[in-house]
Amino acid sequence: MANSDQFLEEFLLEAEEIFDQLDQSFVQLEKTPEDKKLVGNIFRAMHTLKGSSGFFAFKRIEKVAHAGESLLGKIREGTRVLDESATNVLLQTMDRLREIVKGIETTSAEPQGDDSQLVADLKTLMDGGSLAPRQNSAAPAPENALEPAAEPVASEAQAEPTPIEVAHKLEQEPANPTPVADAVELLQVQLQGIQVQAQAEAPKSSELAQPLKVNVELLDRLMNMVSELVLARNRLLSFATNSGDANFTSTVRTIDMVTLGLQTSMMETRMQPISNVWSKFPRLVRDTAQMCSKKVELVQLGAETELDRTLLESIRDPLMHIVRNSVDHGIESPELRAAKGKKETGTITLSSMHENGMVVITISDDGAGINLPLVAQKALQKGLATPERVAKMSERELMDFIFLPGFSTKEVVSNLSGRGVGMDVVRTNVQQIGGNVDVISSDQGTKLRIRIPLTLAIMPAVFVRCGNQRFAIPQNNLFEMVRHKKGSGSLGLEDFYGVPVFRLRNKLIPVLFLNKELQIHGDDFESKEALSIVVVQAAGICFGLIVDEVLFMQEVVVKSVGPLLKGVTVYSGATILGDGHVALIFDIGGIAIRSGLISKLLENDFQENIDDGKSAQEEGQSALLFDLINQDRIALPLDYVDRLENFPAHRIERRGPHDVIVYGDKIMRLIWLSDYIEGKTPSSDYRVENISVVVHYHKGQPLGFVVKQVHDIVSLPNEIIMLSPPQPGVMGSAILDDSVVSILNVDDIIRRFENTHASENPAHMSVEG
Amino acid sequence: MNFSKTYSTFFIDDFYFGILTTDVTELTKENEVTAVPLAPAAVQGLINLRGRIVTAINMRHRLGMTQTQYSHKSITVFLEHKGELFGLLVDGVSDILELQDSSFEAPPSNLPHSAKEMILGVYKLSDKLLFILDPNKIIDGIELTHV
Repeated sequence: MANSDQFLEEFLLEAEEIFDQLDQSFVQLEKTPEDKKLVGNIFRAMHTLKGSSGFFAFKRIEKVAHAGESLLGKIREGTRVLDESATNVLLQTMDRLREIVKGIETTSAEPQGDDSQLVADLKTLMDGGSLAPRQNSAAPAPENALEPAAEPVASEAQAEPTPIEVAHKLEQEPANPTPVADAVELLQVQLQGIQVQAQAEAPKSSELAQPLKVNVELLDRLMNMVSELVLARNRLLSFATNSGDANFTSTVRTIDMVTLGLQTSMMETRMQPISNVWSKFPRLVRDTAQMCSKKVELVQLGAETELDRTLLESIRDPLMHIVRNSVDHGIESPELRAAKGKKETGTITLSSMHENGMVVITISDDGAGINLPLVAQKALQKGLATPERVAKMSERELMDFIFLPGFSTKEVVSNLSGRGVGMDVVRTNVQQIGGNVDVISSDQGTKLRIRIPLTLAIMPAVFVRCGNQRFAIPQNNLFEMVRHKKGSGSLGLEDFYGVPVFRLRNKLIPVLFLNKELQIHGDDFESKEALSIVVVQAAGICFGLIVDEVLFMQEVVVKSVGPLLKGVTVYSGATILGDGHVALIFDIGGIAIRSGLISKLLENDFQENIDDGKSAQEEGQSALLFDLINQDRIALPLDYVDRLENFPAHRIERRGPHDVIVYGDKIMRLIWLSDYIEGKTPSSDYRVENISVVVHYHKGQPLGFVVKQVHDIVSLPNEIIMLSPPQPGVMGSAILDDSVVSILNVDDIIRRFENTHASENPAHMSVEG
Repeated sequence: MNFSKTYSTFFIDDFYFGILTTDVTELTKENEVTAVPLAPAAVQGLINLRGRIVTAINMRHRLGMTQTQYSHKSITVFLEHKGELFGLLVDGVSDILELQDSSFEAPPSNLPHSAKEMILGVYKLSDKLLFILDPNKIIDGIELTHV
C-alpha cells in the first residue's frame, strides 16, 4: 500500500500549493473583480482539488469544493458578481478545505465535521441570494440553511457524491475523460498549467514557479560537499602556482572555474524569494482589517528579493506580527483618518531589497505612529526608568522601550495584539539570525526596518589575532575598527566604575580585552604604541574589543562547533580557513553577556553620549596626520582626502612635466608634497619600494599627494596659530597633544603646482635618473 | 561456540587501550588542533577532517593521567557518536586485535574512579593488560563535567 501512501503525500503537497495560490488569487480578485482569468484560475484550482479528492473518496472536500466551484462557475459566467459577502464565503470555503486537508495530513483520513451550513451559504449565493452581513463567524444563520432544500448536494449530508462528481467531470472536460486513478497526475498537469498561465498573465507571479521538489537534507549534504571541494581546490591552487607544469596549471584552472560555478549555483538553491512569506500577507491584512473595521491596502515591493530559506523561516513570524500590529495599532479607523485629512484607506507598504550584502525589509504604514509620550508614561509606570532619565532620553532611546518584554501602549488588549508579547520577540528573532531592527515613527506613520544577512551559511567576517590564534568576528556585528593611540594614562583608557572606556569622537565606548575574556596569553599592551580596537554591536550595546591585531576580511563558511562546545556561549560557530586550519567565530552577544559588561553599565547608568557642550568644543576640523621627509606631524584637512593608497614605486611614470600613476581608468598626477613646503628634499629620497599617496579629486581629476607616512585622523582644535612670516604651503599650526602640528594649505599647493607646470619649470627633481 | 570481537588498540601514557573497530571511523596523524579558549578542559580543540569540524578530546586529561603537551603530530582516533564525529588524541597506535569474549574480564577495582567509568573491561594479554574503552562514556562524561 506504499503506493497509495505516496499518492496521498503528493496530494497533500499539491493541495497546499493550491491553497497558497488561491489565497493570493482571492484577495487580488477582490480588488479586480472583472478579471475573468483570475476567476478561471480559481475555478480550475478548486475543480482540481475536487477531482483528486474524489480519487481518495474524501467526501467532505468533494462536497465543499463542488459547492464552491458552482458559485465560482456563476461568477465566471458573469451571472453573479463577486462582492464582499461572496469573497468571505469563498475564503471560508478555502479555510474549511484547508482545515480538512490538515486533518488528513495528521490522520490520513478525513476528519469529522458538518459543512452543511457552508454549503448552503454557497448555494444561496449561487442562486443569487444574499447573506446576512458579517458572515465571518461559525455561528449558523438558520434562515439560509432552510432555503435550498431541493438541492441534493446541500441536503444529503451522507450522500455518495461519486456520480455527481463523474458526471460533472464529463460535463466540464469532455475532451479529457481521465480515469479516476490518474487523478494525481491530472492534478500535477493542471497545476503546472495554472502556473504557466499565471506566469504569462502577471509578470510578478514569476516567483510561483517551483518546478522541482528536492529533499532539503540532500541539498545540505551537497552544500557540505561543495564547501569541502572549495577547500580542496584552494590547496590545489597553491600547488599549481608552485609547479611549472603548464598542463597541470590549466587543469587546475578548469577545476577552479567549475568549483566556483558549482559553489554559486549551490548557494542559489538555498535562496528563496521573500514572496514565499509575503504571499500570506494580503489575506492576513484583509482579515485583520475587517476584524477591527479598518480599511487597509497592502503594497508589496521587491517581492522577488531572495534570501536563505532558513532565514526566511525565521522572519516569517516577526513579519506577520509587525504587519498585524500595523493594521491593529498603526492604521486609524476610517473616520479618524478622514478627520485627520488622511485617505480613508490606510496603506501598509512592504518592501525588500539587497543592500551591502544584507537584505533590508521595511514595513511602513501611514497610520498614527507610535505615541512616544505614552511610551514614556508607561515606562515610568512600570518603573523602567526615573523621571529625570526619561526627560533626558532621545526619541530613539524612548522607542527602545517598545522592544522590552511585556511592554504595550495599547490600553485594551484585543485578541489580535496589544498583549505586549511581540516586539521583544520580533527583535530577539531577528537578532538571533544576526540582524537588527530599528523603528522610525511620526504622526504620519511608522516605519520598521529589519536588516538581516543574506545567508547564514556563508558570511563576511573580520579575522583578528589574539595570542597565537585567529578568530572571526561576523561583519554584521562590526561597527568600525580603531587604532587607539595610548597617549597618557593607563593605555589611554578611562575608567567608568571599573569598566575601561575610550572616547570615540563624541561617544564613550566601553571596552573588553579579548585576551582576558578568553583567558589566554595575548600581546603585552603596555609595550604597544597603539591599541587595535574592534568596535562591535550586539545584545543592544556598542562596545570595543581590544585585540592583538586585525588581520583580514574573508567570507567564511559557518559550521557548527559540535555538541561539546555548545555550552561555550562566546562562539557561534567555526570555519575552515584556506590553509586548512579551523578558526572560531565569535558570538559577540555571547561575549558581551559573559563578560558582565551590560549589567555593570546598567547599574551605573552608563550614557554613551558625552555631554553635548563638551563634544562641540572638541569637535574641530578633522584632519589627516602624516609625516614628510624631514618634517613630522603635518595635518591635511580631511575634506581634501578622498582616498589613501599605496603604490609600488615602479608604477610611477613620467608624462611631460608630471609624475603620474594609472589610477583606475584615469591618470593621476603626483604632487611630491615635500617640494612645496620649506625644508624640501629631492624627491629621489622617496626611493622606497612603496609610496603613500593621499588621493584628492581636483576638478574631477585625481591628484596624488605623496607623503612619507600616514598616521592617523585627528580632530584639530579650532584655534589655529598663524605663522609669521607666512610659510609657503602651510596655513598655520595648531597644538595637538602638547606638540605642534603644521596645517597644510592645499589650495596654495595646488595653485603653485599648476603654475609651475604651466611655466614648464618643474620645481622638483625627476624620479627618473 | 566461541565469540570474538576486534579492537583497534592504542597507547596513552604507558597504558594499552582498545575500542571496538566497528566504532572507529578512521585513524590519522598530524592533525592540526585549534585550541578553543574557555572550552571544557578535556576538549583539546577542533580538527578539520576533510571539511568536517571535529571535536578533539585530550585522552590523557580525560583519563586523569599526567599531562604532556600534545604536538600537532599526535594521533587521532576518530569515532562517531550520536551523529557527530569526535577525535580521541592518543600517544601511539598499535595493532588491530581479534580477541575471544571468554578472556574478557571486569575492570580491576584498583583503577582510579574517574577512569573506571569509561572502561568496559580488560583482556589479559600475555605481556600486558588491554583496557577496553566505552566511547559513549568518554564523550557524554565531558558534557556532564562542563555543566
